[in-house]
Amino acid sequence: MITVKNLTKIYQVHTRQKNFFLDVFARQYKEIHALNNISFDIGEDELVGFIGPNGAGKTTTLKILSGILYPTSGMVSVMNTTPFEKNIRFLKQIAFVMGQRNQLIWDLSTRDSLQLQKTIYEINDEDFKKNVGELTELLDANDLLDKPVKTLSLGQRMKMELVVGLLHRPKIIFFDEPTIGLDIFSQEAIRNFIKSYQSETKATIILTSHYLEDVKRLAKRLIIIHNGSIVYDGSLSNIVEQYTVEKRVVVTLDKMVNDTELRGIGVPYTLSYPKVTFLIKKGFLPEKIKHITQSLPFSDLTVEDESIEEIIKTFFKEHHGSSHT
Amino acid sequence: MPTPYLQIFKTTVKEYSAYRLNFVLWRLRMFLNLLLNFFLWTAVFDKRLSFGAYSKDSMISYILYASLISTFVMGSRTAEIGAFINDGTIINILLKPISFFKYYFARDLTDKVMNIVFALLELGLVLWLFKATIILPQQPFLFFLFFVNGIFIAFFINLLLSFIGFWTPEIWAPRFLFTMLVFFISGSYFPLNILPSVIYHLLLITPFPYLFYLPTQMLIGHVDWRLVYLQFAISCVWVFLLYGVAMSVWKRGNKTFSFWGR
Repeated sequence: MITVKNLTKIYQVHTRQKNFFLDVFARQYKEIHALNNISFDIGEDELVGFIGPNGAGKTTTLKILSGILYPTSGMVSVMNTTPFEKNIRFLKQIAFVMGQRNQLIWDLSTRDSLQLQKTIYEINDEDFKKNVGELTELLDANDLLDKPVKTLSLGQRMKMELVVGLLHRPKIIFFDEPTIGLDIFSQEAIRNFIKSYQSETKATIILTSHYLEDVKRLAKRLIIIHNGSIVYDGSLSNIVEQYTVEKRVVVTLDKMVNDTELRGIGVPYTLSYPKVTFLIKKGFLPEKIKHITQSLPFSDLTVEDESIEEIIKTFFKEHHGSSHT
Repeated sequence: MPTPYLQIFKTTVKEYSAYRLNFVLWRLRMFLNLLLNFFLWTAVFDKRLSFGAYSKDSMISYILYASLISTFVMGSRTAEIGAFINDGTIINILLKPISFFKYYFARDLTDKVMNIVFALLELGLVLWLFKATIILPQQPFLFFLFFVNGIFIAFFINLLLSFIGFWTPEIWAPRFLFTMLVFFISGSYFPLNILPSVIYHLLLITPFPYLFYLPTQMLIGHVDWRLVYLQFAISCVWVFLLYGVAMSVWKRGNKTFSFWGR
């Protein structure tokens, strides 16, 4: 479905000089290497999480895959076409949904944007009605269609953006930070939508997000990009397993215990009776759990992974001496 | 008009209706401009019967028709493209399976139609209030040919002015300069053939007289039969040349522009 081989993108960025005339007549540029020789393949139905620090090259990759940008070198094939040729058949099968920019007509209602989208993508009346119905139902947003876009909240606007952007049932969707700036409830609604939409339509999805929870909840495969190079491409579970340093053990106590008994296991990470949480190094886990079961009165005990943020931080620390995500 | 372009037209009309007052005030400004020019030339003819080759009726006809035709020819939404390139919003249009040029031509047509409706009312008001007499339209076929070419010349120049945004964020100064040139050498305030012959003939090489001066001349029956075929040929050359340049700049802009951080 998507094949990228040795893709490089170098931006020529104008640098201002002190002399005005030189700046006008002899412009100087510096080169910014946004992508360095990256390669990957993405198959049909895959939902891939694309993460990395700011400026790592995530959005540049999506822009090249969607045909907005021309690569400096390398090969890009999406559905057997070269994206930047922007042929109509290709454009009709993709969608690029951006959290920071939307295609809704600001002064009009979403229904007006939908009508425009309908004619541009040549969607017949029956499919139009069906698709709008399904999308608004999934997003619980039917009542928002007739409100002027400028009166919608950020979360509501994102929902409408998804209805308009996916109206033509694209086969490939690029989501660029779809939950950025949203409150936790809206983030959850958008995540649930993407998950249901993908399982229903089997669309191929690439998702970039700074909220690693999005990636954890939605993607099985993870590509980590740093300074324009791919530093990890594999399953999410694998990176979790490999880079989990500590596990979170949550014990629900039956009755209060004294401090000494708790400290016998370790210093609690949080304590709010009846729940006490310990962070335990992976290697000591069996021994510590045995200790807990023998020494503490409890009704429930769960072992959880570290947060995905912590895991990715560990990954970057080990590989690049940095903790960006 | 094929369906997507008809829908673009309808949607743009709705966008205008969201800012009704802006539009009405804009028309008021244009109306005051028209009145100013009308009073100026009425005053000039107060103590004389002709000015160059123009009688009072033909000059007033020129001024009023030129105002109407320029409203249609120059009406455009393309000024927004430069800003869209600068802030990256243009990405939304680039990703749609539609021709960018046709998309903007449909938007331009909306602007032209909206403005011409009001301009016709304003013209009617001037004729009624000041009992002005104008020459009935002459040479409709020639007028149509020059008029269509004028529309395309204006469209491609406007696109080119916006495409400057691919290379610099300073997009307003060139457009301002163009607007000033249109004011002075396109025939907004006076017919160009009252200028000294050398200047007039030099101007005929530029695209400016072809925007609305020559269409207006055809409409009031001032056809220079010795030159009209050459004038039409030059206007066609400008249409094709500007189309070629606009298309090539568009492709080059798309290829080189980084949309970096946008």
